[in-house]
Amino acid sequence: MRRIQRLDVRGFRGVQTQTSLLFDRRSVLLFGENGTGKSSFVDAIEKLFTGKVSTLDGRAQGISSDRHGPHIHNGASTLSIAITFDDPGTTTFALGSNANGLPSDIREYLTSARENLYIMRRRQVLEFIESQPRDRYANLRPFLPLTEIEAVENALRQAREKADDEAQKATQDSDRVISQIRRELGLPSSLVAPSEQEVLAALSDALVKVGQSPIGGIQDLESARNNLDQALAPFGDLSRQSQISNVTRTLGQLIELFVSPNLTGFVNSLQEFQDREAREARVFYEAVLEQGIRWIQEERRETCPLCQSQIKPDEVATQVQARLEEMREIVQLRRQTQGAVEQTRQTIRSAQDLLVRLGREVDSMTSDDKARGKPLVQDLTDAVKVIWDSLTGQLRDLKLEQIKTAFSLVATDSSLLKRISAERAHLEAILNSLPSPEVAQRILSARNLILRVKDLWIDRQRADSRTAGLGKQAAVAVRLHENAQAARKEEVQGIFDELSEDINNIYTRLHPDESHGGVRLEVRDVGQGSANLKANFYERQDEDPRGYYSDAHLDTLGISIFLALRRWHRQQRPSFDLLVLDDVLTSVDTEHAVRLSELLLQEFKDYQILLTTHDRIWFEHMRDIQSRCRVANNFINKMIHKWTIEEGPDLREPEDERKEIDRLISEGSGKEIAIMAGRLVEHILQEMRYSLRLSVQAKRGENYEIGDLWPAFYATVKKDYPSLYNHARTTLDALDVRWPVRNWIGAHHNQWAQNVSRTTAIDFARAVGDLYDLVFCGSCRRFIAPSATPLGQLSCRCGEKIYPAPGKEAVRPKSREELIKETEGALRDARLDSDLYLTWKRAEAGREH
Amino acid sequence: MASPPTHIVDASALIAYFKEEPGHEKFRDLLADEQNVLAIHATNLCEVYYGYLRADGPDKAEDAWQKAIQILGVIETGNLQG
Repeated sequence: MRRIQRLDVRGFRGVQTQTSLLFDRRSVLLFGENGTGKSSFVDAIEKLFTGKVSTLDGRAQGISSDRHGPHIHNGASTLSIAITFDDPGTTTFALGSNANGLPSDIREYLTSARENLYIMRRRQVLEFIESQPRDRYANLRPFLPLTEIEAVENALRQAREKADDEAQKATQDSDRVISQIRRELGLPSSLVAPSEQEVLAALSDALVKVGQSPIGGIQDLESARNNLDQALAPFGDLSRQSQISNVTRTLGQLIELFVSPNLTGFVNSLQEFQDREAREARVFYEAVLEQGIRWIQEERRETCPLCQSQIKPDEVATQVQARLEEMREIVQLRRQTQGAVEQTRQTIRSAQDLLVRLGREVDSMTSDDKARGKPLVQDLTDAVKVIWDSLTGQLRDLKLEQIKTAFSLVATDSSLLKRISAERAHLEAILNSLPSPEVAQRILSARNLILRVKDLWIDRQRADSRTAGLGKQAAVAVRLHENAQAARKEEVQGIFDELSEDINNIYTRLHPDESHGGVRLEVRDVGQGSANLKANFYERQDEDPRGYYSDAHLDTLGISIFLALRRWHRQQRPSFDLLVLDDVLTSVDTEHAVRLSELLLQEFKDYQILLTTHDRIWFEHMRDIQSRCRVANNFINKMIHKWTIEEGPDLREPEDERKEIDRLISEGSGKEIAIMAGRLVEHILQEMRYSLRLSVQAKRGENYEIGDLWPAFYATVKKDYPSLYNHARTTLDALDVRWPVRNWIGAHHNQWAQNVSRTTAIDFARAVGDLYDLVFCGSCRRFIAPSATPLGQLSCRCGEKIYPAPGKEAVRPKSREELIKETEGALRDARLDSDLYLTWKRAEAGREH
Repeated sequence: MASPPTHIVDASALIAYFKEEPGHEKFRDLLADEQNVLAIHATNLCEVYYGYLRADGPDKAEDAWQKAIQILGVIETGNLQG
């Protein structure tokens, strides 16, 4: 698992010059007063890993990390952010660099780090609580393992849409057949299918008119046709007459369609609607209002879905309803126009069907007739296509001018319609000139009618059966899709339950014995994805916590939710262990802050944490808690001493201060030397305070200075670590008389001390430098601390600096891991075990008594 | 003694750890934590030595002694006066 070794920042936010925050694979507790640049490091991490800074990007219009990220005295050109990892090749990932060539474990780390669920800042504590259910869900969505179930749901949604489409097309086909049957039989125009009785009555009427018997059922159509054929037999070959009769009839039907009122009236009603809408409803966004009111009501939003302003949902709902009411006439008109569009499309589809039939009929004619008929069929087909294309799309997409042009192709005075009429007249003339008595014509018409209706009736039965089948399929698809939706919601609720349990565990740990909690994330039944947040407060169950919880409780709830989410994210990305908490404990009282600190250090000890605070007391508490929780070695505790706009946060490492002392001794003033030496000695003593567990009298604000720390340090070393004392005696004694220099200059302002002699300052600084060299190891970069064994020995981590226990040899420290490897089970083959040992002990005790 | 041990172990706990008896993991976990300072009183360490001497002979006793002082601080009379 990779960890961060160091973060280097330059020219970004409050950091002007190149500044490093050393992690050394450990966690960092960073203290700095307000405005000293702590958050600049957090911003830098976020910018580097995600490309954004959540406190800038998207916060307000015109604010962005690209514009406001670079230091105000530098352009973006000098900006650099880089993180160095702890892999063997100490890989560095810098802002703007490509991750492709990096080792796979680093790439994996960077991929996880792009999903920002590990940085929490003070202003984000309440973000999750305050966000809307839909936004909450959107925040969680990338981390819900729903890819498979969503793929199934999407596939079923597509299947549902397809089934709906097909069912709709089948219904339209059925409607067309119905229209044609009605037209053939001269029944009133309607989309309701004529009953079998109506059809039989109309056909019987036609048969009776040519001296045939009426028919009793559809099954009699075939025998009726045979009877008509027999009736025609005496008239000889009438096939040409039959062909011409069919074409004449179809041409007549086409003319009827093109001059039908629904086609001619459509252009007018569309024009009326579009004029009205343009005139009255320019600012009337019906869909927006209807959708908006649904969001507000379903999700109990208290902000406008469009502009995020605060709203009163009930008032807005009433206003929107009133506007919708006012515009009802337009809504009505729109619905009517929509209906007219559908009807017109239906008419055009019928025209297409007639043209297909006409094509077939013309094909079966004699070559002369065919040669004249075919160009007309082609021109008509082209014109109908142009009309159809002009009607494609939603109502709002229809172009009136384009429709007018298309419709003019088949208008009463159009050349095409004139050609149809002329052709029809021509064919009628031919028919009249052919040797066929009027009675034969009528029998022939009846026969053709019987044949067409017979075919159409079969088409209708097929269309009905197809419509019913596809309707059933569509219903099944709807049920399957609804089940998949329900399954996803159940799955999400399962995850929410798991998450809620962890939120409660954390929250209860922060607030033991308090009568609230029961925090619960819920999926709402309505809506695509939402997450409602509920909690208990005394006897009130399942309430919005904002209604009852105090600000501090909401803060800790926000932190609990964040930590539970972080832990959950870790389960999915075990190799990514970063956790950043930027000054989040501002409004939490000490008792809860301590509990939260313990929780962090115990339950998140296997994370690499960056914790910042501006609270010195908490910073000191945290160091005590680190010791108590036995994780002090996992932490680097750092202070930002000061911040200036030119230099940024002063985060100098002890090595830097040591080098600076040497430089100042050769070229600095007495005052500068004394200030730097004073700072380093305080740095050393702060570290020694923890590693040697110095007893220091408690002080308000926990701001311990040299005067508080030095006497305890000197006495402890002298008494308990004689080997260090003997080694460092000269230095320690020199400092014991010179440490007040720190207070004269630097720590406190004393006019009389401003001119401290250079010699005094150099003596003080040399003693501090010597002490630093005695207690800090440059190899392992650690201060000395008591060894595990032998008792009384002090050493650094690597063993380069060892001060042996009195009367003992120096023992080079080994890592605990190494020690366990060498000793655990080392005598497993011995006869002695604890049972045998205790048996002997009991026997001895018996003898003694 | 400036840095008092955080845990004082008994002879039987040490023997259980060396023998990998059930429960030795607890000893190991305490030892693994670098913040812990484990110690044994010299008297108890002598008992461990004597136990191994009696059951397994001088080589094992010496081995046990060396291993013990690698991982445990030894509290001697002088320490107790600290």
